[in-house]
Amino acid sequence: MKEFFTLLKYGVSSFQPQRLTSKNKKYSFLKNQLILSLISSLPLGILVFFFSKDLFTKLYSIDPQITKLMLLFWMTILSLFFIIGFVGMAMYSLSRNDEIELLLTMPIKRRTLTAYQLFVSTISQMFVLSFYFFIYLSYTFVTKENIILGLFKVFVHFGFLISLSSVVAILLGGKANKGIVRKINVFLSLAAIFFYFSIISFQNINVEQFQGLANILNFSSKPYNFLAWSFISAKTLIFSTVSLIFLLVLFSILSNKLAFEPVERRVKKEYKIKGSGSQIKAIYRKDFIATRRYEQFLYFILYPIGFGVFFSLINENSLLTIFTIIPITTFYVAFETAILVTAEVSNLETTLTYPIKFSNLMFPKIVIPTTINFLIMLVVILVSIFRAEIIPILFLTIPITFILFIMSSIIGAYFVLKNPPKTENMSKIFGVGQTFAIEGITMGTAFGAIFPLIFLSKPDANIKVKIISTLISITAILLSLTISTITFKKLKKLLIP
Amino acid sequence: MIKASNLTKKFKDFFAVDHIDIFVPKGQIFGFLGPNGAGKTTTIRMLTGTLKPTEGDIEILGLDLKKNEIEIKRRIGVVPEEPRLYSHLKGFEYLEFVMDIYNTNNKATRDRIDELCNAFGVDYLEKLISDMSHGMKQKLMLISVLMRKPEVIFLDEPTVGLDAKSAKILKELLKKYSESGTTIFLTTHILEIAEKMCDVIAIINRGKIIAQGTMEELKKLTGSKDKSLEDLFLELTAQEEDIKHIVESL
Repeated sequence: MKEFFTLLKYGVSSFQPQRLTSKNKKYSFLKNQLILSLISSLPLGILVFFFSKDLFTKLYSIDPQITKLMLLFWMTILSLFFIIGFVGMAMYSLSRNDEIELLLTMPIKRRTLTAYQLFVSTISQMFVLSFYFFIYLSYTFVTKENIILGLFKVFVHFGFLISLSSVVAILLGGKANKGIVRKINVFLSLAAIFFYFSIISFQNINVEQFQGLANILNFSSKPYNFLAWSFISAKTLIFSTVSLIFLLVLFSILSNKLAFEPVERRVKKEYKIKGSGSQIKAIYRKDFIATRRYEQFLYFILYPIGFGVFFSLINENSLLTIFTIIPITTFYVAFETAILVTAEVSNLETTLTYPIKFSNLMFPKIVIPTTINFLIMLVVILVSIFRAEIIPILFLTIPITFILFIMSSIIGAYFVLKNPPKTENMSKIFGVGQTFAIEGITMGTAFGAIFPLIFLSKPDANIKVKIISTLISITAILLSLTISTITFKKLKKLLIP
Repeated sequence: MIKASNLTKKFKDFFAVDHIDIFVPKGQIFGFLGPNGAGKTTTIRMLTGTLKPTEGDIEILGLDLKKNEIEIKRRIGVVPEEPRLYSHLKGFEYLEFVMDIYNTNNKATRDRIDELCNAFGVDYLEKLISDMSHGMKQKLMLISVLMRKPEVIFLDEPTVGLDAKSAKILKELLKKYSESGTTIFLTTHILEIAEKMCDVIAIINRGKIIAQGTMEELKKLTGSKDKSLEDLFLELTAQEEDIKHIVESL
């Protein structure tokens, strides 16, 4: 046990290396990961508690059976999220990596090493655990179930999920591809975010609509649904308790024999070196590959799309959906550019030896994120225009979006080049101050330019409102053009000293 | 041909490189030695156009570096100390990128890639660079430079991370290239390599070149015919006494 706590105190997660600054070195693993995960997941969990409590109260007044079905469905989904995320992460951390390599040279039991790696994986799933804990807690409150029994079920399920996922991870261990694991985590983070939004959105839905859902959700109450065993019935609770004991024994046996083998990769040996035959094409091709392979880039692209799809499903007002997505996307364009710039400048020593102007290498970093996001927004705007009634003012959002995205991209490039990172850690490109500055500039100008259009689109708005809205929008557009010009000049100075 | 005169790099009040002159004729292997922090990498970075000198002039292949930076970069090859490569690319994608950037996308280059891969035992070009070890990346970097047959090659600690066989192949290749007219400028901490390979050796310490010449000339300079390069180096950089003192105190 002492070894385990020592590892927690001094160990560093090899999965997401920190940027090595003297400031970061002061923080131990516990402070960095555990406390951070708790701080960020607890408030959301508490919010989920209140939202789900409201929903359960409404449902319970109509039909207690539907309330339970809804709970079991949520538990099933969350358990699935947990298992996929945990297994992926644990499979990677149980394979041989730099940290394991070092720890294996120390007099530490393999069981302790395994438990430590699995603890790291558990922390990575803190959001899911927090959601499922608070959802069940709210259910216990509404149904007046014995709180001790409720907590017992929660902890049995928690233990069951961890031990099941751990055993699966050990059995599959060493077969994980880091890139795929990271991409799975991106999708799960997005899924968790939209799960959170869906809980909130259920507040506005007429509870009688849930009657129709009963048949669909019915599968989650069947005894074969092991993902909710602890909550279905007393009999299935016994299943999960017995399984938990069995899995713990199995884990204990397997973990002590764990070899921590290197990650197994299927490497195709067939490739043909062709090239593109052009400097410019080669640079664009390299950066396009980066957009596919950095999972953070995927996240920044997928989040606004998911947000848009989600809001259009639950919100009939497509105008509001577009006006919400544009500022979020504007903010994220800066981060997408920053990812591409970081990939370039973290290899600066080599990059500078190429017979090409540095500015030519940097130009695609602005063009690619701006174009990708602009094309996505164009589709969203055009679909919204033709899906709902055609509002001419919506066409105005097209050039405005373009201006905003270019501004954001220039800002992202400038902030990275002003303080180039020494290592390539895409999770920590910007510090807190820089993030707030980018958020303030991008979202501020985007809201300023876009939101007044809502008032302009209303036929019944009076002339005074229309004039003020027009002035605000024009000012914000001019401001973003000015910011773009000034920042671009500063950027040019950094590129061509 | 490499020519640098009065080359200086100053960081605030600190002279990393202090008014040095270098001349390396065509086809020569020039060894640049010095203790850690002596100014070797700074010099290479200035000579390859990745760091602007505070003072001084540089000519590579008879061209002024200030006026012909891109043209010079196209004709030289640089192997930095740390093989920093785009981690999101696969090995073969990186080689394709380099071929395109240097406009050397032709059959001869592709054939040379195959030959070099065989020579260095590189069978992992499908791997992501982020998954490669230091040695694997170093070999990839060497292939990306040697496949182009540059007229001047700068190598900063090129054997670090290489296995014995690859290091030997590299040494033999460099000798072969120099015989066919390629100019080679290399830094190394392995003095045996410098002693066996280099036609001329320069020793830099605290930003200044303190000795320069062939092995014989260096021996004459210190007045001792039987000493190895290691002894000469330690004597010239005044580290021999330090070492004795440190070992005795341990």
